[in-house]
Formats: sequence, structure tokens, C-alpha cells
Amino acid sequence: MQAFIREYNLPFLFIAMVLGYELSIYFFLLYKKVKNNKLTLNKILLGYGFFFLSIVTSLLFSTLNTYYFSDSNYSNFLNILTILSLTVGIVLFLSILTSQEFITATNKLIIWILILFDLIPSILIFFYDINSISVQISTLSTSISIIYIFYVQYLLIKRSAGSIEKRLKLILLGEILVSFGLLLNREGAWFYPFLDNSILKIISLPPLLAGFGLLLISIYRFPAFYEFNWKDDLVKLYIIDRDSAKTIFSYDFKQQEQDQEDLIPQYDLESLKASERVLIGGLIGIDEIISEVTDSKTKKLDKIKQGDYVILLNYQEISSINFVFCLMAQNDTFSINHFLKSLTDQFFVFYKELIQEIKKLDLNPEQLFSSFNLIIKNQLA
Amino acid sequence: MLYQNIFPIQGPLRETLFILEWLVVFFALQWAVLFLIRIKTQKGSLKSLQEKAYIWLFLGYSLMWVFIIIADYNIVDPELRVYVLNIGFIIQVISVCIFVIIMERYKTFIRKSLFSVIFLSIAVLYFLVLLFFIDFGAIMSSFFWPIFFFFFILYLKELVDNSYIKRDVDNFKELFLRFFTGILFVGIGYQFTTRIIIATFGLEFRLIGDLLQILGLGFLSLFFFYIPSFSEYDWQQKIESLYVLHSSGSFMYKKQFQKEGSKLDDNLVTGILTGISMLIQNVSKERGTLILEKEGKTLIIYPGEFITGIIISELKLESLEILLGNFIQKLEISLYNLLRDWDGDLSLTNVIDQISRQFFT
Repeated sequence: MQAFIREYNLPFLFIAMVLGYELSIYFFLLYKKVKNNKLTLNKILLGYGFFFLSIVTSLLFSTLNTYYFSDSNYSNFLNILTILSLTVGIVLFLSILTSQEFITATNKLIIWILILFDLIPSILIFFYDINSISVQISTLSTSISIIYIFYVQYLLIKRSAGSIEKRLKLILLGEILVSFGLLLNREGAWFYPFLDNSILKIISLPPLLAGFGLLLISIYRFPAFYEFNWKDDLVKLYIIDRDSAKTIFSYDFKQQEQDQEDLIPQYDLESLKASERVLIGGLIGIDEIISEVTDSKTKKLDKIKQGDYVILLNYQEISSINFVFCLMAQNDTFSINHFLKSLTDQFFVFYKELIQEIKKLDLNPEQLFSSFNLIIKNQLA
Repeated sequence: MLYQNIFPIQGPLRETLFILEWLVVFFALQWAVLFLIRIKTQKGSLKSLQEKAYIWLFLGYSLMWVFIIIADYNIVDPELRVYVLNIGFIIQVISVCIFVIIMERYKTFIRKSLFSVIFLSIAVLYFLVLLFFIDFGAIMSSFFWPIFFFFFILYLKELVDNSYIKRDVDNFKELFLRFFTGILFVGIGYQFTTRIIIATFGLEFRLIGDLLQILGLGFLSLFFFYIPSFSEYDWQQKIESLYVLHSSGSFMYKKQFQKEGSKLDDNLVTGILTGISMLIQNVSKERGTLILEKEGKTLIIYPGEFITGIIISELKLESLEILLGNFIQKLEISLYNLLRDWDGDLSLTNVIDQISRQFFT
């Protein structure tokens, strides 16, 4: 029975390890790729790389110890390496979180305390017996640090939007599964003393494999870390009545940043720069012109991009009024696209009935929709 | 029954081989899943035939190895082992045929559907062998490999010749060398694990074969990680028309790649597009490639010093942006004085046409 368990446990443990090492390498390569870009949260890629490298190396030492070394001297040495490799990875991740970029999402004091609590028992195991209390303290401190790392990621999820948010949630779920699998693999006997150790190793495999698999799928070809500062990229929003080519609402995101103390920010359509007014009129025309030029009259223009600058266009028709939502931003990201869609939905949720009456009541649309800036502020909060 | 003394595999190498072969299953399955994700995350028409083909190839390879492992490590009855083994080979033969058929839908290699016909013929032959001499099924399935390797060399040549993403990817030749090495290692490694080799040279060769396959799949991973979507290679089919206009907005050159094009006068088109370009540049305060996207159509406008290039295409492809940039830069370097002092003389059209052939044919 033991031989059977060993035979079927080992290949899948090695697959889990390979997956973990791949993830780690993938994060390092991603970091290298985006290193020169001006992205403030880049360093977290490095943190993830170290984190997974340490988890998997710890698992490797633990597996070698369980299955390949019976000599107690080697076994003790491998036990120390198992603990140390995990601690080093966590300490590196936490150190990265102390950098200036993460200051809004983390608490420096807590991180330094956690680093200290991780380091002290790890140093003590060199001087005391491997079965001493210092090992248990080390396991406890690394567990607390991992929980804190999860908490920081939860805060990052709250800062993201749309499909990026979903991906980040999947990454967190994958990490929780991996950590649970690792805990079962290493310390399963604490929780289930009635189960044989080899059975526990087998039970730890599904969460480990599922976790690493989920992580790989979540991060593959998806530089989510570009997206965290999407709110800073927003420039302007215009809502245009397509038929009259008039702007019925405008919102300057940059102006609002400077003017945050105003409850209801000033927006003055008259103050729109001449070039912008030309653009608004032009945007309506461009769509039709491009259709003519490209010989495709059915589809509408979705995106205009120059360098990093992007103009996103969303078209809606309600009560025979054609609206164009035009969002200008400094970067073309998933979150910006999601934000425009979300704003469009919000606009019609709030004003659907009024829009139906707008022609009958002869209301001034600029006054009517002016309160939409409160909704935008709420969306950005 | 052949090889009944070797299988099921026992002895000191059993555990190592067992672990390595599950790793082969994992690596191949991983790439099938990752290609599936690539397709799922791409927009409708961007879905590349090549990526679909690779899903079949890797999935088939992975499943074949699952059946080989079951047969070679767990089945004592020789007759049953041969049946299980051949289920794996059948899966691989079918998946290779699908791979080649899809690839030949994407591109003609030597002659139309030549390799599809060859592979289907060998597949029919293989099924006949299975019906009458099932013991020789494993040997017969090995005949696919040399032809498959030849097909891959042609395919690789096509990829290298066709690619305009070279500038975007560092060490382009090295990258394709990785791909070639990967395929070579997987092919040789697989041959080392075949029954005839093990019977002649022993299980040590199977170990070497497994290691070579893992190494080969590693090389392939390094290639697939760096290479952009395969849809970038299909730029020739996606491009509709190319315009060159002077910075004053005057029309200089047009090349139509597809039958249908804009019915508007070329001078009008270039004038309009210059206006749009200036308008947007005024708002964005950026100078660089301007891209206008709508479902099914993309306009790429590259402003040079004296001239502007415009491509109208069905898809937004990075390779087209690079290609247009290279083309305009080449024109400006080659015709610097003529373009600087251009007075509307359309005799330059022939020269521009000659240079455009270097890039767009």
C-alpha cells in the first residue's frame, strides 16, 4: 500500500512543483519585460516570483526529506532548508511591500514586525533541535505573514475593476488553495492526527495542483499589474447627442483632482477649448467618414488611439435619441473599457425615464444631466 | 506477443521513468490548455487556425502518453496492453492528421492539401495494420514522425519568411532555433522510448528519451512564451489597402490588396484622413502612430517627416504597425531629397510601388 501511494503521489507532487517553478519564472520574466515601463506597482511581480519560488523550493525539500532521505542528519538538514526557503520568500515579498509604491495599501510597521517574527525563529532553528518550539513558532509566523500578504492582495483587488478584478480574485483563490495544500502536506498531522502521513500527502495534492493550475491560467498573457492606476489615466468624458452633435454632459477628471473640495464640481460647457468643440463635432463626423473610407457602413467607430492616448466611443439609442459616450484616457486598459461600459449603464439606469420625456417637456439636457457628475464621483470612490 | 519480458516496467528505473513520463503528459497538456486560453481571450475573427491546430497536437500527444503509461506500468496481460497502447496511438494519429489538415487550411505547403493526403493515407494504412497485425501498430505509428518532421521544417520556413515581427522580438533567429530544437528533441526523445529501441538498447534509452522530450517541450515553451499571437502572421490576408500621402495632405500612392475598396476619390480620402489625424493629434498632444478601430476594420496612420502612410485592414495587428513604420522610414531615407522638395509630381509613384513590393508581397 505504501509503495502504491508513493508511486502515485510522487509524479503529481513533481508536477505541482514544476507548475510552481514555471509560475515563478513567468513572474520574473514579466517583471523583466515591464521593468522599464513607468508602472508603479511593477515590483509586486518580483514579489510573486520570490513567493512562489520559496513555496515550491520548500515543497521540494520536504518531498526529498519524506521520500528520499532516511538518515536523520540529512533529514534535519532538509527540515531546516524547508523552513528557511519558505521564510526567505515571504520576507522578500514583505520587504517589497514596504517600498513607497505600496504605501497606500500597506502598513509599514506591521510589515517590519512580521519580518522580524519570521526571521527570529528561522535563525533560532540553527541553534536548537529541529523539533523544538522554534519550528512551531516559525510555522505560525509564516502563516500570519501569508495571511497578511493575502490581505494586501484583497486591497489591490478593491482598487481594480472589470475582468482584471476577476483575474485577481482567481489569483488569490489559487494562492489560498496552494497554501492550504502546502499546510496539509507539511503540517497535516496537526489537524488530522488520526490520518497516516502518506494519506495526508495524497490529500494535499488536489488543492496544490488546482491552486497552481488556477494561478497559471489566471496570469497567462495577462499583465494585470498595468491596471491598478487606471483612475489616474482618465482624462475626460463627453456624452453627446449624436443627432444634434451637441455635448449634453462633460466631465474633466483631471480638473476634479485639482478641485476635490467642491461638492458639485464646476463644469462649464462654454469653457471647452475650441479644439475640443471641434473634436466633439468631428467625432460624430469621423465615424461616418471612416465608414465611407473603409466601405463599411454598418459598424461604428469604437476606438481612436495615438501613442498611449485613447478615445473610447460607446453608442446607445434610447427613445429614438442616439447617444455617444466618449471617454478620453492616457492609457488603453481593460479597466478603462469596463469603466465606460459601467458609466453608460449607470447613465441609463438613472435617466431612462427622463430621456423618454426629454422631447415632450423640452428640458434643457445640460441642466438635466448635470447631477451625473455625482454618480461618476461615486463610481470612482 | 512481442516485448513480453520488458513490460510492465519494473526495477530501479521504474519510479524515475514513471515520474518523467507524467511530466511529459503535464507539459503537453499544459500547452493545449494555454493555447485554448489564447483562443478564448482573442476577439472573434482573431482566432488563429494555427493555435487551434496546436491544441490538437498537444492534446493528442498528452493523451497518447497517458495510455502508454497505463499500458507499460500497470497492465500485466500482454494482449490487453497492446490494445490499451494502440488506443493511445490512435488518438495521436488522429490528432496529428487534424493538426496537418488545419495547418493546410491556413497555408499551402508544396501542393494544396499534399500533407493532409499523405497523413490520411498513412492513417488508413495504420488502421489496416491494427485490424490484421495489431502487434505491429506501435512500429507503424512511428512512420508518422519523419514525414511530420519534414512538414514542420516547411512550416518553420514559412513562419520565418512571413514574419514582420522580427524587429519586435529580440534574437529572432535564436527564438526559431529554440522551436526547431524543441521539435527535434521531442521527436528523437519519443523514438528512444519506442519498444524496438528499448528491446535493443534497454530501459536506459527510455530514460534518455524521456529527458529529451522534457527538454524539447521546455524549448518549445521558451518559444511559445515569447512569440506573439499566430494571427500576426496572417497579415497579408487581412490588409485591404495602403495609402501614402504627403504631409500637406496630397495623395501620392495607393495600393489595393483586395478587390473591394473605398469608392471615394483617393484625393478626398487622403485629405479627410489628414484632417482627422491633425484633429486627434491636437487633442492627444502626442505624435506617433494613430489607430482608429471599429468592428471589422482598422485604420493605421503612421506620420513620417514628409509623408504619412495609411493602412486599412480587417484586424488590428501589431505586425502591420511595424511593417507600415518600416515602409515609411525606408521611403523617407531612400527618397529624402525628392520628398522634401515634392511639388506634386506623381512620377514618384513607380518608385514607391517598387519599394512597397519589398514590404507587402
